[in-house]
Amino acid sequence: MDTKQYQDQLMTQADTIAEAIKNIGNLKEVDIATAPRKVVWSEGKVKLYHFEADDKKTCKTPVLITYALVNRWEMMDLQSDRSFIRKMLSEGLDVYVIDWGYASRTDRYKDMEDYILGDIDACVEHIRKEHSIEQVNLLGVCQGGTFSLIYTALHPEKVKNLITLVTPVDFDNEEGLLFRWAKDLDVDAIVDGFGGVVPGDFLNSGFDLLKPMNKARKYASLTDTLADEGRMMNFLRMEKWVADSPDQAGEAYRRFIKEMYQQNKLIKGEFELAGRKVDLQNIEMPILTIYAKSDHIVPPATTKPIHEIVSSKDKELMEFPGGHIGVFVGSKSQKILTPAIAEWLKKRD
Amino acid sequence: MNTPFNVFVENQKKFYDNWMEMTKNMSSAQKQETKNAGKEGFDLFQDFFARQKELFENSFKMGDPKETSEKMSRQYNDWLELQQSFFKKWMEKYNDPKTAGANPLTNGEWMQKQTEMWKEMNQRGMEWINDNLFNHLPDPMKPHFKNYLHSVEVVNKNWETIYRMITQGILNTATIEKMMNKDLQKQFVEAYFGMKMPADSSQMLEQIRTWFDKMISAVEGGENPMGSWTELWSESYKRMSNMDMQPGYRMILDMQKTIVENSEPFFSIAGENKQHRLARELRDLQFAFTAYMVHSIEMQQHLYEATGNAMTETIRTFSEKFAQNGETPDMNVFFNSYVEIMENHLTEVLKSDEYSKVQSEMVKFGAKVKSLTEETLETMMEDLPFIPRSEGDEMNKQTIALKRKVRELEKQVSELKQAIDQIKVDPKEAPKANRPAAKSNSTKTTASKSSKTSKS
Repeated sequence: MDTKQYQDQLMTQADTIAEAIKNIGNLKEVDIATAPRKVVWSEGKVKLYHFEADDKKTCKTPVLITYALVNRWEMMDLQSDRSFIRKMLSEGLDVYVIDWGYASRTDRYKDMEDYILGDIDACVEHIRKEHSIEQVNLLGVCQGGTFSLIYTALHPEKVKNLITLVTPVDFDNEEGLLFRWAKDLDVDAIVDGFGGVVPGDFLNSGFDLLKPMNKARKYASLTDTLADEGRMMNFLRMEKWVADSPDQAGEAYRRFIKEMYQQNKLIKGEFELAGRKVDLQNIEMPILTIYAKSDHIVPPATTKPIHEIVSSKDKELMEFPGGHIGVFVGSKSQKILTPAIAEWLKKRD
Repeated sequence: MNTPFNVFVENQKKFYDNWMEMTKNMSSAQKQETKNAGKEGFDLFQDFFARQKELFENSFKMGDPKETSEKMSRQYNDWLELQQSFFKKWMEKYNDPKTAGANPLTNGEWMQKQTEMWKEMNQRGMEWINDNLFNHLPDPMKPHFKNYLHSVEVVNKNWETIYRMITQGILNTATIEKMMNKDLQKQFVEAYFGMKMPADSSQMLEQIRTWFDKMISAVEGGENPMGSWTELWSESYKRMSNMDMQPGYRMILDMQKTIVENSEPFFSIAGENKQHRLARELRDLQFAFTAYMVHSIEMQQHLYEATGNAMTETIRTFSEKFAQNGETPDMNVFFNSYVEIMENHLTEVLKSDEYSKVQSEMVKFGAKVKSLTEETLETMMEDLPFIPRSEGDEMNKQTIALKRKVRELEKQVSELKQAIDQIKVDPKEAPKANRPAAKSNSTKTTASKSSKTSKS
C-alpha cells in the first residue's frame, strides 16, 4: 500500500469515526416493544397484554404467548420491521403476551406452581371469558415453552393448539454448556446465598461464557455499526434487551434447575405440580414443535423429544435455520417462520 | 477488529512505518548525512506534536456533548490534515538541497524521542476517541467494552515484538515463547474477562486481610471478644503468608477450615449473645470469602492454562504464512485470528468437568459471602427499630402461601358454582355435580401441602 492509499484509508476511517460519534451523540432513545398494546389483566408484577391489530382477524382463537422468566418478552417485538408479534398480527392472529415483570425480594417464594397454575391459568381464564371460548392457542418460548407444556398437560381442556419454540424438555444433555454446568450447580447455596432472588446479571454472565469471545467480535465492528444510523439502532436495541435481564424468583429458579436440569423429571414423568403428576402424554391436541438448528442455548436435542413424548396425532416438528435469538429477529423469522406458524394455526382453528 | 481505536492506531503505525521506510530508502540511495536534517525534522515533529496536543486539549474542554459531536468531524479531519501536513513538510525539508540525504535513523536520540512522541500521540488519540464514544454508550455495555479495550491495548502494546517475530519467520514454539512477554497471554485474559489474579498466595492473603479488616472495623466496638479474634486472624494470615505455599492456594483453604473447626469450642462455651453471634458470623464470612478467592483463582488458572498457547499458536500461524508467501500481518487480522484461536481453547476447558466443578464452587461461595454479609449486618442492627429482612422474608413466605390457598379456594368455589348451576338447569343431572368434588381430591392434597409449607 502506498502513501496515497494509506492517506485515503485514513481519511475514510476518519469519516466513519466522525459519523459514528455524531450518530451516538445525537441518540435520544432506544425504543423497543413498540407494537400498540393494552394491559387487560394484572396481578402483582405480572401483566397480560393484548395487542391491537389493524388487520382483519383470520383466526378466531387467540394466541397466548408465554415467554421465559429469563430475559424479557420484548425480544418478540424488538423493532417494528423485525417484530415476531407484529408479523403475527399482520397474519391476522389475535395476540396476547404475558409479561412476568421484574421479580424482587417479595417474590422470593414464588414457585413454578404460582407461575404456571397461578399466572398462566389466570391469563388463560381471562382470554376464555373475554372471547367466550373454551380453549386458547398457547405458544411457549424457551422456558416459557416448558411452562406451557406443563400447563397443557395439567389443563388439556383449555388448550386448542400448542406451539413450543426453542423449548427444552430433555435436560439430560451434555452438548449445551448451560446443561453441562447446571448439573454441578449447588442451587440451594446460590438461591439462599443471593437472598432468595437470583440476579439477572449472574445469569447473563453465564450466557456470556457460552461464546466467550463474542464480545470481542461484536465490539470489533462497533465503529462501522455506529456510523450507520439504522445499524446502530438495531445494535443498541439488541444491547438494551440483553442488558434488561430480570432477577429470578428464587424458589422457581431452585425448582427449575433441580427438577429439570439436574433431575430431568419432566420427560421422565416424575414432575409434580401442586400435588399433581405432570404427564406429557396428556397432551393430545395438535402440537407444533419448533427448534433452531444452530441453537447453542437450547440445543435441538433437548427440544426434539417433545415431538415423541406427547400423544398428539396431529404433530409437526419444524427446523428453523438459525440460532436461539434468530428465531425472533432474523429475516428468516419474518419470511418463513411466522407465516408458517400462522398458517399452521389457521388450518386448525 | 475495526474499532476506531485500532484502526486509528493501525493507520498511525502504517503511516509512520511508511514514512520510516521512505526515509530509509532515500537515505540509502543518497548515502549522505548531515546533522541538520535530523534536528530540523525533530523540531518539526515537536511543533506538530505541540499543535496536536493543543487540539486534543481543546476537545477535552468541550462540555456540551452535542457540540462535541458536531465539532468532532471537523476537528478530527483537522488533526489528520495536520499529520499530512507534517509529513509533507518533513519530506520537503528532507528533499531540501541544504539538508538532503540526512538519515535520522542513525541519530539514536532523535529516533528515541520520536518513538516516545509517537507512542504518546497514539495514547492520547486513543483516549480522546474512547472518551467521545465511550461516554455515549449505554451503561450496561461500558464494563464489557472497557475490558475489550484493555485487551486490545495489551495486544497493541506488544504488537511490535509480535510483528518482528512473524516477519523474522520464527516458527519454533519454544523460541516464540522465549521472545514473547511471559505475561502477555495472562494480561490479555485478565483484561478481557476483567479478572485480577494475585501474583502469589501471600498477595491473595493480603487481599483477603484487607477486605476482612474492613468488615471487622465495621462491627468492632465496645467490650467484646472481637479484639482477640482479630489478633488471631491477623496472626494466622501472617503465618500463612510467610509459608512458601505458592501455588498451594488449597492449603490456605485447609488452614482456614482448621481455624473454623478449632474456634467452635469457644463459641459452644461462650453461649449466645450478640457479640458472640457476630464473631461467629464474621468467622464464617472469613472462611467463605477465603474459599471464594481460592476457587476464583483456580477458575482463572484454568482459563490461563487453557488459553496459554493461543498467542504462540497465532504467531506461529502467521510466521508460517510469512515464510510461505511473504505476507506481512495486519494487526486487525492477527487479532481476529487470535480471538478465534482463543475461543477454541476456551470452549474446550469450559466443557470440562473440572472447570464446571470449580465454577460451581466459586459461585457457591460467592453467594455465601453475600448472604453472610447481610446476616452480619442484620445482627449488628438488630437493636434498631427496623423490620429486618429475615422478618420481611417470613411475611413474603406467608403471603405466597396464602395466595395459593386463596387460589385453591377460588377454584373450589367456581367448581361448586358450576355444579350448582348444572343442577338448577337440569336436576336429573344432579349426580354429575359430584364431578368437581371428585376432581378436588388433588386440590385437598395441595391445600394441606400449602398449609404445611406456610407453617414451615
